[in-house]
Amino acid sequence: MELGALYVYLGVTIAVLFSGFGSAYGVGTAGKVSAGVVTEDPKKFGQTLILTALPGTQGIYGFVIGMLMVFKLTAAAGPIPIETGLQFLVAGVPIGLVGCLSAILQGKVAAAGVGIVAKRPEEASKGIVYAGLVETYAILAFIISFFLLNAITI
Amino acid sequence: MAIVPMKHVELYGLIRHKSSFLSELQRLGLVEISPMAPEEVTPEHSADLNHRLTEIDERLAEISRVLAIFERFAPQKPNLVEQFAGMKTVITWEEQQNYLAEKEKVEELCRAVFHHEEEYSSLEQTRGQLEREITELLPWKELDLPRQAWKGSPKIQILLGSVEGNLDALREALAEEKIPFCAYELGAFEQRTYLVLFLLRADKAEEIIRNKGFMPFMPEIPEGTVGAYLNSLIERKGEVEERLGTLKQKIEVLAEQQRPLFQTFYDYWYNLKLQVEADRRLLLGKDVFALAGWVEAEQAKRVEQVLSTLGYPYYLRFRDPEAGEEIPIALKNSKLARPFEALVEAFNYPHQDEVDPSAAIGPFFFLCYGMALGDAGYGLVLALICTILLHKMTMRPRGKKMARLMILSGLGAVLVGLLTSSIFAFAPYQGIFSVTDNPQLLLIISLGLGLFQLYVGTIISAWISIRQGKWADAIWEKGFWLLFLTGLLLSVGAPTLGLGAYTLHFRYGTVITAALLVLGNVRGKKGIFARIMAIPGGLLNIYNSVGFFSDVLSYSRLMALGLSGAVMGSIINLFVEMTWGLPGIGWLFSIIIFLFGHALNMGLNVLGAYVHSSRLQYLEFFGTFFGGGGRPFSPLKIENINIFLKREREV
Repeated sequence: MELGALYVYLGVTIAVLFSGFGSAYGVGTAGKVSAGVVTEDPKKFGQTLILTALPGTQGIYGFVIGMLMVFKLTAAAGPIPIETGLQFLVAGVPIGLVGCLSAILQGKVAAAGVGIVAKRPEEASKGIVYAGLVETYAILAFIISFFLLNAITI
Repeated sequence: MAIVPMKHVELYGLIRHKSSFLSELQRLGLVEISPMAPEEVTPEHSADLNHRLTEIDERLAEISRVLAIFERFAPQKPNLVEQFAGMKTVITWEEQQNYLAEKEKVEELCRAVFHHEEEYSSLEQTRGQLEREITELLPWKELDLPRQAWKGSPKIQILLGSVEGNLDALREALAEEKIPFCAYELGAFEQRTYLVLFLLRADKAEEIIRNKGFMPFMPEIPEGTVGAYLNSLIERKGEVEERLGTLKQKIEVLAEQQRPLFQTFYDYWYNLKLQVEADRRLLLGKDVFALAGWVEAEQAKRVEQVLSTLGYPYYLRFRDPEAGEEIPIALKNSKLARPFEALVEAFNYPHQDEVDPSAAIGPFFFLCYGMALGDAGYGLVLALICTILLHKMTMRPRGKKMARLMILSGLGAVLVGLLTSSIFAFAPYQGIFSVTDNPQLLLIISLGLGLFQLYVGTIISAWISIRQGKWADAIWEKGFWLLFLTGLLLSVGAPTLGLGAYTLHFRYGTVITAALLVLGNVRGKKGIFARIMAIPGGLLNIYNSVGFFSDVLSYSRLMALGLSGAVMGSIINLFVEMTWGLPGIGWLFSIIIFLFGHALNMGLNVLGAYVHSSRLQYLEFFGTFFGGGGRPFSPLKIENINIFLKREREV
């Protein structure tokens, strides 16, 4: 395989791997706490489910970027120059790294939000908004990754 | 519309009619009773109330205990929506009255339930003891030597016990010392061999076998063989379990039949508690009580009317709020804007000097949500689900508002989805533009919406100043601010808009408005020194434009959410198309992927769109004009925790 295509693969891997790792970690953190709350009060499953699902979006952003890269690669005719391959690689970095960190931290905020669900369920929507704030930066990274990828011409 | 105007209300009546007035006011649910000043509290009155409160609390504790027991034996199973809204038992008004007539029955049933429950727990303990005894005796089951024979004869010693592993070491040691013995193995349990040892009584014998790991044990049975005793234990355990079964069934039947009765009474006592707590806020004289509070101005007539039908002497006075008085806040909007009150209430109630932003966020939330979800299929499903819930479920006003909010939001997504031709991420026709093909345009629309909304916010803020009579503030602070921002935008964007020739004019205009902004900050300061000191603050105002544009950029999230949802949806559709062509049951997999994939994508996007659309209102939009901090209006009213009266549904 030529080096250019390998770099594209690396770009896909960075985007999907790190954001997916972060989301798994974040959902894991929130999920552990949620399970604790549900052992006390099984009726709170619905509300804790929402908070647990929130850190999962980063993994999806990474996956979307990775998938778009794969589409672009398969649509390309002829070999990929090394410079183009490196462009792919760089385009994957923002969502990969920011997605990873923000998902981990969002998981922690969501876990704290589960505390709100446990003690004051009527205020649960505020916990959801707090967790949503962390996601802003993953969204910004996603936008940049997307436009970097869009700017690559093969 | 917007914040409901309030009237201050004062009511005087005779103390002996006090509870009638209070329960009538509670039934009406229109009057908020303000607490009186602490120095007005009379000790006798509060002691009497404390006594009544303790009595009520005892009743409540009793009934909650019964309900907890019911929940333990026959748990109610809430569905996913009830997990959010809470479970309610729906009864009619007549049913409620019938239940309330059975006060004696409740006490009787309370005692019965406690009695059953106590017997159940003590039997559970007995069962545990029996089980422990049975496991202890189980290894000795095969021992057919009766209890009285265990002490042996003068010559023969009988030892019961166990060794780890097998008996070889024991046998060898005894044979070495030439002690005659006979060992019966009873079987192995948990890696120990249990045995009965017949030994000639000898000095060293016991020591030898102890050294070889023999652990003597005396099964605790009164008489006869272990097997017979074990059987009697098992039989007793069976009896206990049977009794437990009947008790459980009894409680379950009680739970199924009488739960509504207890729930009704719980709510009855709970509301009485609210009433007594309201009583604490009254001012008492020798024969007359006084009550002060707030009522919605529109409802004042109705309160007067209802109280007059009571037929007791009273004096009622309404007046408009005085300046500086803290007024409780209630929101009231047109039918279309009402669902958006849910968003404002979740954030904070407006302060009495502010305006109710519900109507203002309405159209923006609708569009933001529509763009973030961005698919007609998802939007339609969401709106349909919420419509069905609204009609099938028993919901309180807050839940209804939320459901209507989601219906409107879903319709927003339908609108955007139809415009961009996206139905479950399929594009059946040529839309205005495609989100996936032209994300740049989507980004521009997102930012444009943001810019527009923040301009509107600033204008509202100016309007609030004007309403308060501060015309100059509105023009100097908000008017020039908007001109300045527009100037900045035009200076940078003129060439793109085809106005390149005027760029220089725009720049001059921007500089002039910037100077005016600085001047605006200096305005009103006394003395040269204070005026010079105000200049840096004015310059800071100009720097605030960075904050303004970063708020606008925050709206880019709408594009990201819409795009990632659309791409994810089209990836799912790709898989669907790939499996569709497969021979055999490819179509089945295809349908499963379609349903499952889109359900997941929709779930995440509905959630994300809600979180981010509300954040845009709370942080970016409210930042321009809304602070909140009002105290919500909380009238004395009937609040049911467990039951839901059907009549409430129509009101």
